[in-house]
Amino acid sequence: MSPMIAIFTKEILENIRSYRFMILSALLAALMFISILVSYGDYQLRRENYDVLKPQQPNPEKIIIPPTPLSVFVKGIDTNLGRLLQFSALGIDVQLSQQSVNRLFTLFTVPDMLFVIKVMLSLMALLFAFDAISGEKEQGTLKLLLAGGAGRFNLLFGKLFGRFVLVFVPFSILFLVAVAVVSLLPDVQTDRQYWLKLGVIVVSSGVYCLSFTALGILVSTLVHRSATSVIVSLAAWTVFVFVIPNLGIAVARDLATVPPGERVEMQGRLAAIQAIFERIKKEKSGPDKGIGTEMVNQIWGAQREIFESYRPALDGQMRLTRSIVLASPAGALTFLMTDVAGTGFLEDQRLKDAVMLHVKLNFGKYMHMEPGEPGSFTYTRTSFGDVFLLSALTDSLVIVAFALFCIGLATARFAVYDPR
Amino acid sequence: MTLGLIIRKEILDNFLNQRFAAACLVSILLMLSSMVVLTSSYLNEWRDYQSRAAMQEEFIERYGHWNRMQWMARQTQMPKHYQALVLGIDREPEQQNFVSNPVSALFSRLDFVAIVTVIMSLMAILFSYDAITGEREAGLLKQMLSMGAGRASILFGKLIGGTISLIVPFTIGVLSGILYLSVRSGLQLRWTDYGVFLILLVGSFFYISAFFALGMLISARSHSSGQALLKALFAWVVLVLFLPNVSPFLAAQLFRIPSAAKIEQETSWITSEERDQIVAQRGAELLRSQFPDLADFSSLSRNEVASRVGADPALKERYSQYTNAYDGLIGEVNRDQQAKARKIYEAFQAQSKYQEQLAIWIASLSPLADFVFLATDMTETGISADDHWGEEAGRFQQEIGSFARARYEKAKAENPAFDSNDYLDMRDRPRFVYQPEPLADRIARVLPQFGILVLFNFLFAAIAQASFSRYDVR
Repeated sequence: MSPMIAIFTKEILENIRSYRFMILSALLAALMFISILVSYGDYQLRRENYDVLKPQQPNPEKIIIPPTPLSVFVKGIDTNLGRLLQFSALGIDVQLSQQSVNRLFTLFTVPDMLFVIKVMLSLMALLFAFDAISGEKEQGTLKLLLAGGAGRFNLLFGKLFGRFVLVFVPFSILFLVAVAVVSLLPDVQTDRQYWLKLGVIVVSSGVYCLSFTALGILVSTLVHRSATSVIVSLAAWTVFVFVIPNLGIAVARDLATVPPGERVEMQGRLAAIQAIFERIKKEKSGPDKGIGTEMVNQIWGAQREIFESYRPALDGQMRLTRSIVLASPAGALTFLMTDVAGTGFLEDQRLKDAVMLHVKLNFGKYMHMEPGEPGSFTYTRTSFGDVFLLSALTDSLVIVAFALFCIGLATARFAVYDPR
Repeated sequence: MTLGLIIRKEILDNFLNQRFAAACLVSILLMLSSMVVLTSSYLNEWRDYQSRAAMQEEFIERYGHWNRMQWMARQTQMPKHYQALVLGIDREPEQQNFVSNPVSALFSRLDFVAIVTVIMSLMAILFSYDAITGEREAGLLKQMLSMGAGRASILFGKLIGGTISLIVPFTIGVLSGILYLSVRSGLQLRWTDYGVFLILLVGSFFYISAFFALGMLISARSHSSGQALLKALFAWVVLVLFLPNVSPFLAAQLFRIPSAAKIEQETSWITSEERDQIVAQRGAELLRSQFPDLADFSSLSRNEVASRVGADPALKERYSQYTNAYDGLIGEVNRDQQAKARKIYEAFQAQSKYQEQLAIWIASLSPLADFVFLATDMTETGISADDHWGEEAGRFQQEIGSFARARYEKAKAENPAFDSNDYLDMRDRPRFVYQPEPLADRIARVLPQFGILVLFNFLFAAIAQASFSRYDVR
């Protein structure tokens, strides 16, 4: 048996019966169970809403897409994507009856599987890794291991993979059980894309977990006491999981300003009132067949103008947000998983473009200003292939780069680490 | 005396420790960076709000007319005065428009509340988890007890000293942030604002000390620092990261209410299709029972009815009686159906309110939620302020509606040809001035949350004391 495998086995055997393993695995299992329970309940409610609101007959002016079953695991902005949109002569209206009446949802975070992975899995990985080197040193076993010919490289990688497995294997088992249960539940329709995307979610969780294990090991090689190591590790965790993403969003929103939703709503509303007012005024001065068409065109011109001026600003803010938040693996994971699950910004942009195109193609027909029957809205969420090329590749590279950076730095540090 | 000595020792130990310097640095950096960024966003939003208000003003001056006055005078929410500190309920994630920004629906921003609830509570746990076990492992606990220090003095000395050591750097961070807010131009802070800051600061002290006491409790129930750390983090994860977040979902599962879309569909059916059915049925009954002589009118076209009625004055009178009775019937059915729909809607509102309250009760089991409610209610960024704004805006809509109606009726009296789509001069109309809830009311509202935070402190400290009184120091 090679020394690395021997150390890997020792790490697993030593830790698997430990208090730490039991308490953290129990916590993970409990959180995952509750997360799936509440997320599935939430999905069912959204599904019920969809069934109530979807047009029973083909209806070109009503636009709604069903919630994706993957939102049970990664909710993202699926509630917003599943809003009922209705277009008329006055513009595109959002039906507000789908909004939750419980305002606590706006005060707290969604405890979905993404939250568990982003927060809990990373915390567990750090708590398993923070004393990997410093702990051995404190016990005096580091000297013995090195004197026994284990080799620094073997020791580091044996520990890295051993501790990674201790966190990721229980998580994977629990996650697969959750997936199996959810997939058998009513309302959850599975297809090839569903399984493929879930596979990507598991793999990216693994890389994310490995990156935090490597971070823990790195911190362990930087200090000489486990008590210091745990403090530094938790500080790093706080920075990567909370500070960078949340402060990054605030900075991006401040630097790349986008008109608030209320301004957009007001502009659309006032443009419609102005067009109606002017139409009535013209009608009073004399009959003219073209006045109605002119009003509709005026309202839609204003709506298009608002959309076209808003969109580049929004795209700019999203790009900046992404650039800042990608400095943290937790931010990269959020983008990766929401885009893969079809509940992220990418889907939002695609859906809005598809809605605008649908309206553009059918508006004249719907308003009887053009010949022909308007068509119904159809939409398919982005396939994994497209997501991969558009965003997931960059996001996953960021997580991999973070893991490699931590591993590389830990290797360099451990090469000169004083085991005494 | 011993208690005082231990407090002093704890504070000195901590102040000379690197942890204190790190806590100071983290508090100042995070508080300042968050407040700088959020203040800048607030000022941008405020400028945008003012330009929106000016745009609306100009529009009404140019296109004001009675028919759509309430639509054009609808109020948009102004940025919240304290949002440089506490963001609270953010309406943007709800995406009320097709062209809305989804960024805030996916990520939340780092504000004072997030720093206190997540980062300071974690720091409190990290400062306290080894308070007892660490001394025991170093062999100092035995020494302290053998030198006559009582167990209660040790525990409370560490608790008070440790909490002060954490609160001092935190206060430095907050004060530097508040100093920035007070010198930043454009914010216009009032004296009451400093009162709000003070209440927030005191609330934060209770929140942080509750977590410090929790760390002490766990330390007093563990025999090694490693074990204590794991247990403390377990409790922190449950109380900070999970319980509050799960509460609205759990409440939605425990107390299920029909979806708002379903209620809207049902009430819309009652006031349209069902109303039409009832009108048709009762209209036929009316014709059969009181106007049998007009029974064949239902199969005639409007023109045929007009020509028959025009040819016979007696029939015209009879028909007029029928149309009056029919109009009365429609009015009655409309009223009944609207009352029925309103009853369903009100029952739904009551259920929704109860579900929200249930979520608040569940969340209140976590000190985090209590602090969030305290901070958002105090800074008018929470649920009660949201309700208050809705009431104020609704009242204004009624006021502007009545004003416009009076103006329209006056114009109509002067010129009978004037109609509801004609331009109305509304320059002297009432303007919307938001009146925030008085400070005293807000303070009264947050007292229960203060009470719960104090209770958490007592509870954790009491259990820690009970555990430490039987603690094996060897």
